[in-house]
Amino acid sequence: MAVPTREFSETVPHRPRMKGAGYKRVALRELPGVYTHLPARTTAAFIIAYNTPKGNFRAVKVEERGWAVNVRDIIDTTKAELLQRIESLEERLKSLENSIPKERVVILREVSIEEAKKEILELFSKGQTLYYSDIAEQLGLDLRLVVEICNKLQTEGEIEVVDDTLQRR
Amino acid sequence: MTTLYKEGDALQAERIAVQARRIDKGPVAQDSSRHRIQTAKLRGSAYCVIQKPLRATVKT
Repeated sequence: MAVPTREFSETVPHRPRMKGAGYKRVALRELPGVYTHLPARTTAAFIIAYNTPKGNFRAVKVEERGWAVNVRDIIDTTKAELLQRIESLEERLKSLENSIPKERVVILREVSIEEAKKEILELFSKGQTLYYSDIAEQLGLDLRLVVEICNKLQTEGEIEVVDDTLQRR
Repeated sequence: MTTLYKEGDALQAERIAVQARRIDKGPVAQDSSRHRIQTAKLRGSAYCVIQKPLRATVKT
C-alpha cells in the first residue's frame, strides 16, 4: 500500500554566534514521492542492504509505523536491472545468432539429363574428387539426378570411386 | 544400385547425403568417450544416398 511519509532527524545550527554551539533537532518534513511500507517481517539487515549505494533504495523510518521505501526508487532500480538484463540477453542472442550457420539457398535448375551429364563430366575433368552432394551443390542439380547420372558414368567407366580409406574431407 | 523403400530398411556408412523438405535436428547423445552422436529426422520426400569420393577415370 502506498503511503506518504515523513523524514526524521535534521541538523539545525543553533546560536551561530557561539562557536561549536548547536544541537540535533528532529525535524519532520514531507518527503516527495510515494512510499510503501516494507513488510512487517523486514529485518534491519535488509534495510541496511538496500540503503547502500548499490541498492539504490532509500528506506526511511515512518513515525511509529516501521520502515518504508520510496516507490520511485523501486521502479528506478527495477528498470535499471531490467535494462541491464535485456542488454546481456541481447549480447547472448547476438553470439548465438553468429554461431548458427547461415542458411544457403541453392536454386535447383531444370536441365535435361544429357545437359546435366555434360556439366558433371566437365566438373570431373578439372581433376577434382567429388561427392554426390558436392556436385549437386555446385551445379544446382537435384541429388537424385546426380546419383542417377553418376551411376551411369561409373558403369560407362568415365568416373570411379576413390578407394582411399584415409581420405578425410 | 538398390533403392530401399520398406519400413525398417537402414543405411550405414561413413557419409550419407540427404535431402528432404524438412530436417529436424534432434538431441545430441553422448557416445563413447568424447564422441557425440547427433540425431535428426527427415520429413517429406526424404532421399538418402551413401556417398564415396568420385573422380574421373585416369585413361592410359
